[in-house]
Amino acid sequence: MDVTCPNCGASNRSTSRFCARCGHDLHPTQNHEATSNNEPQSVDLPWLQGVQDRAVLPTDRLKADNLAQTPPTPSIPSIPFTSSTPPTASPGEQPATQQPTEPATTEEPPRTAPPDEAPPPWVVSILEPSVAPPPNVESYEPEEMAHIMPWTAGAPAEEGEAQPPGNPSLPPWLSDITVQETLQGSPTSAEETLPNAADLGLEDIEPFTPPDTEDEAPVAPAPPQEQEPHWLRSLRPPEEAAPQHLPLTRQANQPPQASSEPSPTETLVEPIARGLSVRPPRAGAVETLAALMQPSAETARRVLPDALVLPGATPNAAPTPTHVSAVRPNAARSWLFPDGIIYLVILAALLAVLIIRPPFGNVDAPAARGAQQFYNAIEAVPTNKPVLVVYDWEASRSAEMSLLSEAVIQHLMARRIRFVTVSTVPQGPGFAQQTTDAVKSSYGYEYGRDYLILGYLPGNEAALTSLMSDFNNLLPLDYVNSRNVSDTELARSTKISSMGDFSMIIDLASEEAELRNWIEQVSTRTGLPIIAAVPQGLEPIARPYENVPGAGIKALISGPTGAMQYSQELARGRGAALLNSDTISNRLNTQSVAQLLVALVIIAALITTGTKRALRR
Amino acid sequence: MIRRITTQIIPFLNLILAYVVGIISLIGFFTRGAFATLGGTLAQWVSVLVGFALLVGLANLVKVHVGRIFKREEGWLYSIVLVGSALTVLALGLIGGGPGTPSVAWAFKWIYQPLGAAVFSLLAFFLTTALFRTPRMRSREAIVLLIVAVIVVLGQAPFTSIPPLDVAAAVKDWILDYPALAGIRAIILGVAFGAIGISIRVLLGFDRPYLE
Repeated sequence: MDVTCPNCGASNRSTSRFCARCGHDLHPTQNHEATSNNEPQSVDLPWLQGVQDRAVLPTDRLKADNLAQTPPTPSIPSIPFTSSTPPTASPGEQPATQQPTEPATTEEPPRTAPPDEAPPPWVVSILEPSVAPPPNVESYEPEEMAHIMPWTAGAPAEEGEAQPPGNPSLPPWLSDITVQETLQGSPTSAEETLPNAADLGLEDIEPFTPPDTEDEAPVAPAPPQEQEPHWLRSLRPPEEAAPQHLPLTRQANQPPQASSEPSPTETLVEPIARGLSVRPPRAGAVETLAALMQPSAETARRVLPDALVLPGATPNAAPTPTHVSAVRPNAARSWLFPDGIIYLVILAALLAVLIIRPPFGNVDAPAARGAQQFYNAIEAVPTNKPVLVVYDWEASRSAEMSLLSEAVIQHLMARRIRFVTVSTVPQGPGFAQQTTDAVKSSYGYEYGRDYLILGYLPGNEAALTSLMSDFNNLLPLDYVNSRNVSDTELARSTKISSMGDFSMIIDLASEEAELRNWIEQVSTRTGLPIIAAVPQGLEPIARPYENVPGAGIKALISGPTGAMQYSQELARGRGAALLNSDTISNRLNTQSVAQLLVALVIIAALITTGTKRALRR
Repeated sequence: MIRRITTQIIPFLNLILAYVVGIISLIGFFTRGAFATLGGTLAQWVSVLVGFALLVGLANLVKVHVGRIFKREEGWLYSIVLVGSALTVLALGLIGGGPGTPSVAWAFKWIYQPLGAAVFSLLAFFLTTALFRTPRMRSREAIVLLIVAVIVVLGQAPFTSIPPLDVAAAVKDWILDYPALAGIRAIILGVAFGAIGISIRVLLGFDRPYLE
């Protein structure tokens, strides 16, 4: 039963919630009811209230501090989420939730939660890191953990040394930060997101190094301000300096410009720039992970644009302007390593091959499976029936396919076999004309009498199906002269009104889809034998169709090596001169060098990565 | 009444039409005779429609880019090149008397084919740098991929026909004959089963792509 959209009148399935045409809600009443049913009756969950307090209270206090220009550090109230009583603020603090300042005239019943309603584990892990279960460190490899937090891979604590509370493997200021939970809670781990960072040139960034333990209180938990690491303290301007508005983004050698409206980033970082106190990263927060991945100040100046470097980001250093000119050599270097080097080496090697012509290709053609089979298949074609040659390759594969197609046409002409070409790719007829024009003069072939080039056949599978039923009417005109096919000498001397009038299909395809269409739509229904010549990259995909009982590819050759061996077979068997022997030889030389280079690049990449990992261990 | 026709009757007719055409084509594929002839005729209509779609596409392309040229939008110089080259080749074909005239063949051989090959050849550079970056993924699959790639690339190189390098060619043949062939066959079978399922859903009316 269809549902009619009340907005546009379109018919939709009864199971659809929204209209497929206009997106209008098809069941507004049901959706509303479902939504209202799904809503909780009340939000009087104490643990949820605790989360809200933790989230809202610092913000409110921060706003208050901003107005008063006096930054006291608020203490976060402890939240007894195991009891059913609502959270209370610590003495001297304004509670985060809206408490009635005077007895309300319309009192609502106090929101109480069932006593046995415990908060979910992830809330416990945020509110009380010490209560939360220990993170599963085993899910990370040791070298990865050593890369993320190198201090965890250091020597174990000496005996008798007092350990700070919390995780003994972490420094005191980081003892309550659960980076692992952050990593594991995120669906995309840092390992998955790092490749982009590597592309930006962050590969050379050293992992964050924690401050020396000598500067920190070794045993007792330090006050919050002393727990701030150096890198965080560096973001704070000197205390003696009067708070002033600093520009957050600036150009080199350019005075700060006043802006009427602050940008979003200015709004975010404004408290820092104004000298307000900065809270340390919350436990398990994203900013903790971001802080751990901070590059050193020197690396940041080298990698990041000058406009993004905040003044005073260097520890114990005055804000000094950095110049754009210092970035440019690194940009050239980042382009040169490794991409530029690889590009230049490949280009130089290929040009050298074209100039010097090393004798790789002059050796006997490498073993190309199927070349002999392909040659025998064409040798077995009867001469009284034409062959259908399919030109289904595009210009991008012309380097390989032109060699193969010329060899095939040469073989057909050497045997005096008439043929008709057809294409399901728009570029196909052009290549058919180009190939046959290059070969026909050597064998005295004449267009219209010995061969025909039919045009492009749009429609893919449907086109082949219609070709099966009515060959003549589907392609009434030829491609070269735009004449009626029935008027040609070939059509008068030979019957070519259906697919059954051909003795074989030779598919010159550069894509798997075209090859598959001819096998599925034509060869299986007519039983015509089909042989294929494909690029070398397509050979693994075409091979499953080879020698399938009933219908399938009877023979398959691929690439320049296949063309070379097939041409040699043709020269031996038919005495035909190798039409493109120099061309094939040159291409084989180039291919050898290119493949060798690619292999060397892969080996270099493997060695580089292995060495880096070994050094990290 | 009109609303009922547009919202109920026409969609129902569309569903019936798609069902009938699909059934005829399906039966015509496996049989000979009337159904095969009718299926071939329907397929021929598809070819005609695709041909007209190409013409409409060309007209739309010219319209969009001519508008971009007149409005001096971003990239309008490229639009000039596109429209100019398209109309030039079209004019060469119309004046010469067909697509196979020498002028069109010249443009095809000396302009289109080198450009297409040049664009594709850039893939070699990008692929090589991508291979260099692949180990940074630090996954075992990437390492296995690279090792197999080295073997297959070296095995397909012409110089490996010389002993003892022909061992690489033998290893490459084994990889292509067994693991790669099995994987590709599995993929092809999976795609075929998926296509059958989608076709059945369309025939039974569960999916109606022609209404969207």
